Formats: sequence, structure tokens, C-alpha cells
Amino acid sequence: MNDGGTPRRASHGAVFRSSLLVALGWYVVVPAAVLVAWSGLPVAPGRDCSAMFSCLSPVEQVGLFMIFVGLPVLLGAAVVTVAVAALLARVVRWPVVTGTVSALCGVVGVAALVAAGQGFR
Amino acid sequence: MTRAAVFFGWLYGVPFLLVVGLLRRMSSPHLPTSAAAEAFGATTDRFLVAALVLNLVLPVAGLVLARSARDGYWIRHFVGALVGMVSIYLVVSIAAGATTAPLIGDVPTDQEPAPRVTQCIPRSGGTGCPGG
Repeated sequence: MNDGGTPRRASHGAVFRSSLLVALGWYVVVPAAVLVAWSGLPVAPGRDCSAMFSCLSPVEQVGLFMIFVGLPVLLGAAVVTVAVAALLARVVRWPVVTGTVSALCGVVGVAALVAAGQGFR
Repeated sequence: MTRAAVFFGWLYGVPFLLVVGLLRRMSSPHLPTSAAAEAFGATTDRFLVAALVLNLVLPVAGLVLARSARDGYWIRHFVGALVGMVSIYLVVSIAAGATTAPLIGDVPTDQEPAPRVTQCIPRSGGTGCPGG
């Protein structure tokens, strides 16, 4: 650790790499929290499960989401996150801020793209 | 190592607990009895209270630890965490203001049928029971 006398000047590459790690943390923590919340919700007994995919567990639903739409969405979010982190790391030298803001931009950017795509239909 | 654990515990732990608590609060789960509804509401409250308490305790404790070790690197991190702490409280207060039910202490509705009235008890000043 630094002795605190002088501020640590990390290179742009180091800030960028650390920012990506912080952003990756957000991409793990937030879906995990959603999954934990979702798994803890009691479901009504006696549901009609005759239709396909009508009574999936939260983990199965996440798996299905990933197969059909999750991978392109995640890829888009990752591209936006990396681009924003690369730009922001030149200005802000704190990876916690750059990683958090870039992860947020990635999610908001993809949500905006999806909303715009649905608006064109 | 401890300072890093406290900082990243705050950075990811508090939002984790908040997301779980807020999603549980916003959901309308199937709760067959009032006891189940109370237990569900109490668990949700525990997530939210833990998030709000840790949001205060972790940055302050981290700042005290970093200052006692004269570690400028982590002092800067925890000063930033104090700003983040205020931001989280602001977000929670906005979320609390947007809902009609209280954020903490709310018991969700249950599916337990209301008990049927099978017995008439006469009250002084009220209406009498049929048959005296």
C-alpha cells in the first residue's frame, strides 16, 4: 500500500485494466442479487405447467434468457463498457469510479438500444 | 487487506443487499397465510436494514482504519466511499418516496381467507343479537 505521502499515479493502462475489473464485479454482483431476490419469492401452488417453459425455476429462466437474448445484450453492454472505460480512464484516475460509471453506461446504453429497436417495429 | 475487504464489501455488498431487499419489497409473492406474509416482510426488512446500516458502518470504519494506519491510498478511497454513502441514502430516500407503502415494516398481502363470523356477541349500546 501507499504510505500516503504522495498520490499514487497509475498509468492509463493500469487504470483501464482496474476499471474493467470493477465493472466486471458489477456485472457479477447485480445479476446475482436479482437471482437471489427472485429465488426467494414464493410461487403460487397449483399453477398450470402444461405449456412449454411456463413453470421454470429462476436459474432455468436466466439460462433460457441467456440462450436467446442474453449473449447479444451482454456483448453490447461489454463493448460500451470497454469503450467508456477506455475514454474515462484518461480523465478520471480512480478505477472504482471509471469502472462503476462504465458498467452503468454499458447497461443504460444497451437498454436504450433495445428500447430504440422496439420503437422501430 | 482488511481495508480492501471493508471497501469492496461496501462497494458491492451494500448494493447487493439493497437490490435484493428492494426487489422483494416491489414483488407480490404468493403468501398463503398471514404468518408467511409477516415472515416474508421481516426477511425483506432484514435485507434493507442490513444494507442501510452497513452503508454507514463500513465507510466510517474503513476511514478510521485507514487513518489509524496513516494509509493515504485507502483514506482517499474511504473519503470517496463517504460520498457514495450519501448517494446511496439519496437513492433509497427517492425509492421510499416513490412508493405508497413504507420501505421498512411493510407486510405484504396474504391469501388467507378472512375468518367467518359464526357467533354473535351483544355489545352495550350496539345492535342486539337475533333471538335476544
